[in-house]
Amino acid sequence: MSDIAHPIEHHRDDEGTRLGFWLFLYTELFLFAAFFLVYAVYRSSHLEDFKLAAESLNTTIGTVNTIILLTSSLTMVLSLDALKKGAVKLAKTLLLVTFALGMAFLVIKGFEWSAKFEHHLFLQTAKGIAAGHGSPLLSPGEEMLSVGQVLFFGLYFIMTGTHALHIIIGAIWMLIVFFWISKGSISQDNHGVLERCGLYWHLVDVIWIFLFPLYYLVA
Amino acid sequence: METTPRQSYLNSHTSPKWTSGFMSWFMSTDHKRIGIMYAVAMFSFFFIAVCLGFVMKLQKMYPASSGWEIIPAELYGSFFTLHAIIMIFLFIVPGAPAVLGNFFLPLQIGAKDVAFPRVNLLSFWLYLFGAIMAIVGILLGGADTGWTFTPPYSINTKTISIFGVAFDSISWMLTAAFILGWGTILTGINFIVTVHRMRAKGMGYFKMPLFTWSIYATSWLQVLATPVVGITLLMIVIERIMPVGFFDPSKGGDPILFQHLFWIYSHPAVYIMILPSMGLVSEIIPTNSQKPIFGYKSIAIASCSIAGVGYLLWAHHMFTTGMSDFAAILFSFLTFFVAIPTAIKVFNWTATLYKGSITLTPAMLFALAFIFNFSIGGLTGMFLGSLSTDIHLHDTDFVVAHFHYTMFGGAAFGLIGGIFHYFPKMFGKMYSMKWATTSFAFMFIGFNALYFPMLVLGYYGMPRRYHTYPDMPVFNSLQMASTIGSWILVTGVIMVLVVWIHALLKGKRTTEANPWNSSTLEWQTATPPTLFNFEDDVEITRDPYDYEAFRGEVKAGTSAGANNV
Amino acid sequence: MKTHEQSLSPRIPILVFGALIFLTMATVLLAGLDVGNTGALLIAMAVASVKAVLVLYFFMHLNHEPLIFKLFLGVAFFTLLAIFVLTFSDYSFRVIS
Repeated sequence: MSDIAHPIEHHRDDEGTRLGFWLFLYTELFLFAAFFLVYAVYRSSHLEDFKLAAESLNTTIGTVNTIILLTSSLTMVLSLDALKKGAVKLAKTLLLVTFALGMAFLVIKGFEWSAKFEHHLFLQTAKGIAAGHGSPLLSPGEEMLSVGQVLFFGLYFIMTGTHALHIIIGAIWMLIVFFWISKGSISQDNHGVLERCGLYWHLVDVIWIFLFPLYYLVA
Repeated sequence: METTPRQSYLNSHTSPKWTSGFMSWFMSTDHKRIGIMYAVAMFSFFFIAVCLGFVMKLQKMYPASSGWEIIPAELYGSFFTLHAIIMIFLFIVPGAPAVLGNFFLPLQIGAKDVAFPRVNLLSFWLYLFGAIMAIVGILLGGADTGWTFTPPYSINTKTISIFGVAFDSISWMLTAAFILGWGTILTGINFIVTVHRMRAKGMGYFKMPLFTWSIYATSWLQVLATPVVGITLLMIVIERIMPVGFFDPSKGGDPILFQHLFWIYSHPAVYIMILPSMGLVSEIIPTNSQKPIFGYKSIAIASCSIAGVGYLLWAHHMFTTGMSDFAAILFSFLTFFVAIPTAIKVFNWTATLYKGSITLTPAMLFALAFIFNFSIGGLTGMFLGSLSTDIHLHDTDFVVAHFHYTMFGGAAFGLIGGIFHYFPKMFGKMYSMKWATTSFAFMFIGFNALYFPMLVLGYYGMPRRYHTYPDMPVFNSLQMASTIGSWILVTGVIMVLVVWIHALLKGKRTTEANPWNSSTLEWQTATPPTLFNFEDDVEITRDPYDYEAFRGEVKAGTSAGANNV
Repeated sequence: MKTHEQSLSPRIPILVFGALIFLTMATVLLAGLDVGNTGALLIAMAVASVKAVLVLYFFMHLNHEPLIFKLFLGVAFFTLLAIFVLTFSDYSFRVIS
């Protein structure tokens, strides 16, 4: 019995691949939807605490980050359009700009997170409860957070953290795409990978579009 | 089709690099090989879980007062947790889609593979990795939360120590489940795109066979429900590690919210488990009645309706948790609706039999048993969906019997029947009809002897997940009957596996394309199929169950029919 | 393989971007309005939804895609709606004593 290898010639189906990718995006959407549901439930039962906790978030920074991400979506779609037109250099430049904007977003987020006061309070209150003290491990002059505030901050860190993780994934993907465009494996006639990277990035943007008002505009 | 080529998928490979041995399977993107690899893994895990169940039943043979104890209570807790995790996540959820869906979806629609063959292989690797991770977690011990991982216990339960090293068995199991979930999701995406983009010329949506329809509906549930539970399980892991307050009441979280999120997946999951088997029944019954299925369109639409409506029912698992009365009434009301498309299917299958030329092949026996078992399962579900009776029956053996009637008596019987149906096509080998029929008898009788008493036990108040019971005549006799039923059933299961393995190793070789004289497209491939499935271009000109036209084609020699018809 | 001509001029994306920025500013300003909690939430979600639809349609080219892409979006959207509505059938109707 002679074994023969017949590699399958991959008949390219760009539309089918896009269709499958949109389905993948919906799975990502549903991942975040679960978080949003948890947020919605706790917000509805702890609204005043949520508003109180949200006051410590800087609306200006949040707005700036929103604008950064929206701009990066623009440069991403322009990059794709450039590649479709055959303007490879322009496409690469715009892609790098998108990457840089994504990095800027992360840096700003990093500063936000390290704004110690609320972060510290949240961790200490929660740790205290977790350790069974009932009372938090606070320094003198610090006030314990209420239950609703603990819930708010927990959700805030995890949701923005998960979002940031997706930004990182998108950014790495962009670098890979940049490299492949340089190599020529992504081109005007074969731009599906860049297109999908773009779709992913736009979804990350859409998630933020909803995160922003729910966390920064509550107060 | 007169000549059957010597080359088949069993000796042709998709990659020039891997052409022999283990790697030619493990690295293969051929949907047929992937289906078989799933089958080997799944049935191995299934057998382990059957053994766990066997011991659980043995434990309950006599009441506590008799001094009978095979395993103590804590170990019993681990046993039912692991039995469920294996059966649900490693066997039934991948189940028919992974094995027969992978193998036959492209064949049924005239395609040469699925839409994304490499993603298909990735799905299998994710499944295997998650499964091994789960088994390792099982062996290391410590997961006794029940497969439902309900907080606060799942958040606060201790990590165990293994050789002095702290091991968080709960987080481990949850991560394994998350990885398994991604395999399911990717398969679902693959199948949806395959159905939309790769049907043969002339095959409109309402000319697709019903197994394809059922796989399609299932795939939507896989794509839209699995992510929700995936992230919810991760939330438990996060809560175990970090002091956030998602579901921990001591931090203001609501454990019922976890249950909502958990069941948002786990209820549609039961439709993921049953729909493909229903699709298999929809293939087996017309084939073995030699006439068109009754109500083709309504079965196709019912499959999608079950998937859609099934998404809206999840909180009927939570009637006793303390959620609002309004929600309880609403979910109970919605639950009754899913019975309608289900009943349409049962009616249509039965109506197909009328005036049919019935052959009781092993596959047909399992399909008919499906109808019987699933009807009991579905009807007992009515008692559970109804609020007042559910209060009494919740968390009793009645529930356990209900879901075993649907999942085992329904989904698993359907899968086994499907494998008997498609076995000769898949392997070019034939099994012993006599032994297959005997194995069916053991399974059917054993199954009902095991689970029917549990319906009564539950009605009399026997709680589920208990490792023993008080000394009462009604408990004693029914538990004994149930245990003996389990022995008959396990014998039947072993017989089925032996029949298959024996046929693979020593069975009679066959190259007959269409041994059951079935009218659907997958039977027009070679036996076993070639690497790319169809030698000639496929064009569909008739309905999939138009037996009159099919008989005409066989007579004219344009389609392969059974040689003895 | 393009089935139809897509305009590749940057005009539309830039216009859409302008709208998105405008809506972002709007939502920040509207948050200061005194419309009650539910009102504020509804306005914020409405604006966010419009922004999301703009991104979906124009940046993600959903406007150029065949009908099936939009049907898929509809399925996802209605499923999400069902999840939220049905979950709140519990939470909105709990009687806290």
